[in-house]
Amino acid sequence: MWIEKYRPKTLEDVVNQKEPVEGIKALLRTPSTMPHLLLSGPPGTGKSTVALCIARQLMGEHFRNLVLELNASDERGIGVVRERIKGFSQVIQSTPSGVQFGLVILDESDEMTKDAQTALRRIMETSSRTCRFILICNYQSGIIEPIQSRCSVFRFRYLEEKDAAEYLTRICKAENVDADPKAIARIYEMSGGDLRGAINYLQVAAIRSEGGKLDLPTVNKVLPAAENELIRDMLLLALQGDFIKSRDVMYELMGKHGLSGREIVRGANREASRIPDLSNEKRVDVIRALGECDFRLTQGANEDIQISAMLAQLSLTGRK
Amino acid sequence: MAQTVAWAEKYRPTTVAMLVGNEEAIGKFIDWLKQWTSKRKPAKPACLLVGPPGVGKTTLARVAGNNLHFRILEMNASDVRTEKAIEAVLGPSRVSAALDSFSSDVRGNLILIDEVDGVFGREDRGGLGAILSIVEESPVPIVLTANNVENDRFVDLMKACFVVPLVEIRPRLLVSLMSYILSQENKALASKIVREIARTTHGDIRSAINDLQGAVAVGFREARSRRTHDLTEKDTLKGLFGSPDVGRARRALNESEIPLYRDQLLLLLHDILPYVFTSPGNLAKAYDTLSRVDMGYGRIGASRSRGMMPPPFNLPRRDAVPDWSILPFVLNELATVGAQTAENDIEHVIQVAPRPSQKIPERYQYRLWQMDRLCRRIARALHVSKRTALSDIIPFLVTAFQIDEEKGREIALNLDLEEQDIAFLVSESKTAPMPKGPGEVLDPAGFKLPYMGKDKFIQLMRAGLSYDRKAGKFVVRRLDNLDSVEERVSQIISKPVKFKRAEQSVVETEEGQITKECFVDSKLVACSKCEFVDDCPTQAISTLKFCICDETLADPGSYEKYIGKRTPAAQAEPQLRKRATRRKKS
Repeated sequence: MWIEKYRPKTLEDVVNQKEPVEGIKALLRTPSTMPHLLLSGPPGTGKSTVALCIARQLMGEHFRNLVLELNASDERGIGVVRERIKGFSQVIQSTPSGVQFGLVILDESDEMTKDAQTALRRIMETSSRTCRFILICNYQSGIIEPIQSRCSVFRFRYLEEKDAAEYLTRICKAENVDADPKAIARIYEMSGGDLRGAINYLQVAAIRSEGGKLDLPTVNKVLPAAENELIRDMLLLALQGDFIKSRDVMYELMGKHGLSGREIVRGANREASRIPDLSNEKRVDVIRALGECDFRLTQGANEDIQISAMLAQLSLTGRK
Repeated sequence: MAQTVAWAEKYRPTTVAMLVGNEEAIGKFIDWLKQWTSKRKPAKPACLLVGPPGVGKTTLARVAGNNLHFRILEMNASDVRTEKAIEAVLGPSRVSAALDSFSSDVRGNLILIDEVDGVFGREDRGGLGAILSIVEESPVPIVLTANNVENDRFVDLMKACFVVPLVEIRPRLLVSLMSYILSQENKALASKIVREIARTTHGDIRSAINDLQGAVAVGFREARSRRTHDLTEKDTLKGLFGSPDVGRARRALNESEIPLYRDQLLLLLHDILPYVFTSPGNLAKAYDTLSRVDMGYGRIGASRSRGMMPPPFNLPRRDAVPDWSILPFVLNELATVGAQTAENDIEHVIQVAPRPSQKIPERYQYRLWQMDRLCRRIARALHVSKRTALSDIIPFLVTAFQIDEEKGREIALNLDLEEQDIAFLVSESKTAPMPKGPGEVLDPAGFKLPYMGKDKFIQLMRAGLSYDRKAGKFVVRRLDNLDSVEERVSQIISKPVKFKRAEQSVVETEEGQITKECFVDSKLVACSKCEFVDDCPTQAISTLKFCICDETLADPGSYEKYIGKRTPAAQAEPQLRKRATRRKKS
């Protein structure tokens, strides 16, 4: 995977994101006083990469053993997080190397429940002697205030075309791919500033290209995934008033493709702006229903019920 | 009625005596651990606790360790357990443990390695071997837990360890534990419900206690009023939808035999609602209620009906304490689900309605577990979350396999994926449709559509298509009005359709290629960005091989000339055709 192969190893290699990177570099000059960090920003803008770079700079070669990486969305339960952090800080104590503290990287921490975050706040206090936390999130608003106030916050932005294109071109050179600047521009346009997405597109396009020549038609051929079309089908069926079929498509998305409710809503949000023949008024209704559903998903117990309620709302909208 | 303390927490065992079930295994384990406190060390320094989830393997190790004053060092399944990592963690701790044991109040370290059967695959390279070597010569007690050791890999480990098997907690024991809790709490509950809970929780103590607390919150009133009969599923639904009377519906809920401390009834309603209400207005209203009730259940945080379902159907269990005090309000809201009169006969609906919320998760269960495992591996290899792996990486891998299996395999091996994961990706890439992408468009001179019914076919004919039976292809009859045909066809087949425009077909054919760049305002501009592209005369002239815009610049009048040449022709043609068709008709 190129996204791993060409992941920057040091903070100097990170492209764009000047503001947060400079700030972090300044903090790292005196590691012992480093505060907890909160990195927020859209996906594919280098948050995890920067976190790993920090770890590498602080721990050197030990970093695999002395860094605890947790995806909050995978291991949501605070019990699990607490036990592992506790166990981890014990490990740090008993490791006789020159490292002052361990590093806990919590990815997607805005998806943790409020309860879990409150508990996390305590953990951050009790283990602050042995551990520093790097919290990574997409939306800073998803993190409770007390945690925000304990962290230095750094915001990441979508990459600008110039920097992203330069990075992609650099990868192409290293991989001996002769890429058309227009193709690169197209890839950037599709990814919308998400470098991880862009590199993935680039790699697929490179596999597809013949003789190492990457041009615009090749790029156009490889996009996008089949799920998007299913999501559109689901919306159109609901708007046509065929609720039952639309719900079946939803189950296919969940069951066969393993999409979670939130991903379906996000995809639907993208597709909603592309549905042909929809009056402005109805489009607004659709988007409102999606927004409501997105909120309810965070509260509800069963995702299929919440999405179906949204589809039922859409079939009413379509009938108006 | 509010119960603020979770019983599962309140009655969590703190001493060995409080552990339920598996008496023999507990005794064996304690004996083994006690040997460490005497001078003679046991023959085997490690103990392997084997048993299904939720029977208290980890709890036993912790409680017993604490009671015998050991300091417990834990490694979880999710830690990366390569040989080095294990050495890094356990190596020094073993030494310090030996030193520690001289101090008075703590006897020493006890190393607890959870879920050793999770140690496998390449990312845990040598993990099992490392555990084995530590186990064989450890100076401190090591406790390992595992769900399943029926695999050749574990033979050596089993030999090196003192194996203690634990079994599921018997329902009868759960019943007596629950009765004990009920008496402590001074609550009463029909024994039928208690037995039902014991039966459905499969020996998982924690969830049994949580369910018990919920059942008490639901059935508090009824238990005292000594209800005489329980409403069956059918009667409950009849009560809910039978009349718009909310009070009656609420009573039906009270008397129902469906356990309301779980979301079982919600899923049932979710399945049948579209068959009960066929008009979109009523359906949307009822679903809105249901979704709000579901939010209520989410807030309560009770256990789910689909306990072991794969991730998208069942979010990971929350650790939060179930908050049963909200339940009465939630049930009041649930009673309003039938506030509009049902549009179909309930009995009939119950018989005919499929139950997708149960059937579909079952059907895809295996597949989702496979994907889940794959996501976990990818997540670890690429430092992303499982969700990102699913949404960003797997589609990429599938496409890579589709285009070139060899290269896909190369990437997969780099990711440390195993053969079975690769096999899964290969099968995925064969079944997934080739991504079309926005670049592919239909050729108006002949394109295929998936089969559709007669109605839609007639609609398509009216939209300006004709069908070439020999070639089995649809043809657009008139090319001058592609926009509106596109629009109507998209509507009919409910998918956006784009037709190849003349300009593009010119690019495709070898003989009439246009240079893609042209000079407008003495700047190099790509056709796609040219402001004249819509009415550029070049695309209408198939033999032209270059863009004439620069000529246009040189001679300001020439552009108008082309426009003038083109427009009458373009307008004249359809008129002629119209006449021709009319003549045919008459």
